[in-house]
Amino acid sequence: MTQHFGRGRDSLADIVTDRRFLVRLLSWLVVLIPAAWGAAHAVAESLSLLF
Amino acid sequence: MGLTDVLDRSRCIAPANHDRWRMPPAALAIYLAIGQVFALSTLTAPFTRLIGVSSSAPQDWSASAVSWLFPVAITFLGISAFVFSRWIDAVGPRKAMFASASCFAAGFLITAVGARMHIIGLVYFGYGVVGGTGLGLGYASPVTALIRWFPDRPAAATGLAIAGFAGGALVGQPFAQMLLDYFSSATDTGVVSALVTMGVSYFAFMMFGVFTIRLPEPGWTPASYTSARREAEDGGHWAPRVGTPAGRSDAERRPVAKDVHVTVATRTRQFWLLALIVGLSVAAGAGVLSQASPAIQDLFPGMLGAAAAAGFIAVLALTDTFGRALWAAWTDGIGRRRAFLLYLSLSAALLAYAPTAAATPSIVAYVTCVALALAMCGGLLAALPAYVRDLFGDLHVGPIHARLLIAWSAGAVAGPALGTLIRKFQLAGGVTSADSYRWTIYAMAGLLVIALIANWLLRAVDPRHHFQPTEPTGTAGGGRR
Repeated sequence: MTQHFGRGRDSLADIVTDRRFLVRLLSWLVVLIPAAWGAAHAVAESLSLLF
Repeated sequence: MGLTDVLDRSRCIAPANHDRWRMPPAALAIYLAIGQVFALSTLTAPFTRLIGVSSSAPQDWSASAVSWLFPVAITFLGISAFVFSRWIDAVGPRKAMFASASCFAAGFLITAVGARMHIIGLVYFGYGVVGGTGLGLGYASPVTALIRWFPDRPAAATGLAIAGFAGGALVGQPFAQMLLDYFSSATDTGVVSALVTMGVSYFAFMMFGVFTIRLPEPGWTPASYTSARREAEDGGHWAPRVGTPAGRSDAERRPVAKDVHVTVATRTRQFWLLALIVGLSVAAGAGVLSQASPAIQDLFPGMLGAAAAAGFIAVLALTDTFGRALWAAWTDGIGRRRAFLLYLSLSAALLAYAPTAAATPSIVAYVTCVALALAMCGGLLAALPAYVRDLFGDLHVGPIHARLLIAWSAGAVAGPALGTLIRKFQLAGGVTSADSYRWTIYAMAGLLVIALIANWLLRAVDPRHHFQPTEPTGTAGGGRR
């Protein structure tokens, strides 16, 4: 991903077909999706402090 | 190929071009799962009405009997991390994380059986002992891998991962509530089905971490991390490790100057000062957090209800999660000792000012003070593995950090108990309820001041404790590896 973005001349197709980038992205999504779901619940609950 | 082979340490060693940015998600999968322990109250609330279902029956367990589950689990977190510290290092992160997932999931299943049969001892054994052991193994397992993959930014890496431990409560609370809502009926609290589902789900989630985690080859460093920078950072600690063939277990690699063996490290003043800092920081944070909900309602009478207090807890959980990652990462820039001095003094000052802010009365100022102070305490814990590496080298950073977790668990149990004791003492002396919370907060700020002094006393480890190059590899620092 760094190489792609660093060179700044690859197409979107090059980026999304970069296996290394996709594996890294998927790895992060596996943990960030549940974390974001939990954080969204906490944000919604914390709003009760304001309203 | 059997499961044991797949989990073996030798199969964890990654090729030199492996993507290190896949390691924080692997660790996060473990920390997000075991952080569920902070949302335990959602899951255990139905334990007090297993027979009565809609309300507690006389034969049901009392709330006080169930409330001991959290301290038991946290106690076993510390004990298991301490006892298995060397084993975790010897078998590698993959096998240790698998053991953690197995214990954590088995804890849920045994607890479900205990709830179904209405045997409270089985519940304590399940979630407290077996599940608590899973917590300790899980907390300690990914540390070595993270430190070795990120020698250039160790606290940023561990901070990002350990933030998941606080974030686990954010996930665990709505997850447990969703399952309880789904499985409950007029004749069933739904807690048994919820426990089984959680055990299976968390096990599957943790398996992602188990099969993603890798260790770098011995001697591997990122391309951007030059030997000149290493020398500048710590005076040669990161000297290349010679004599270890690539791809071999790093159990066979030679320690270098400034590495301290775990058995030697636990006899140093630095270890005990770090343990004091960890224990007191956790005690202060846990002590404030355990009374946060009733305290804010008493400190702002007529201004805040139970729903707003729950919102305050959510704010604390959010700032603790993000604070761990951010405050820990900052220590890579300004240095661990200086950062700890700054965080401990600021968090003590913020906590000491919080009651004054409440007297103003300013809800925003009070919430900001408490949230920032707790986030800084969390940041200290998230940066702890990097501090251990700074002091003792990276040879046994995992086991030494694991042994410090016993201070973590002692603080997590003692902090809330001390808070309750202070409050009871104050109330018995005729102090108002709101004032009793003020004194509890002052006491917790006092604990942070003691931790600040301990950090001020920390100096580099005496060279006589360092690994001697003349010693055989397996007996670095006078003990067996």
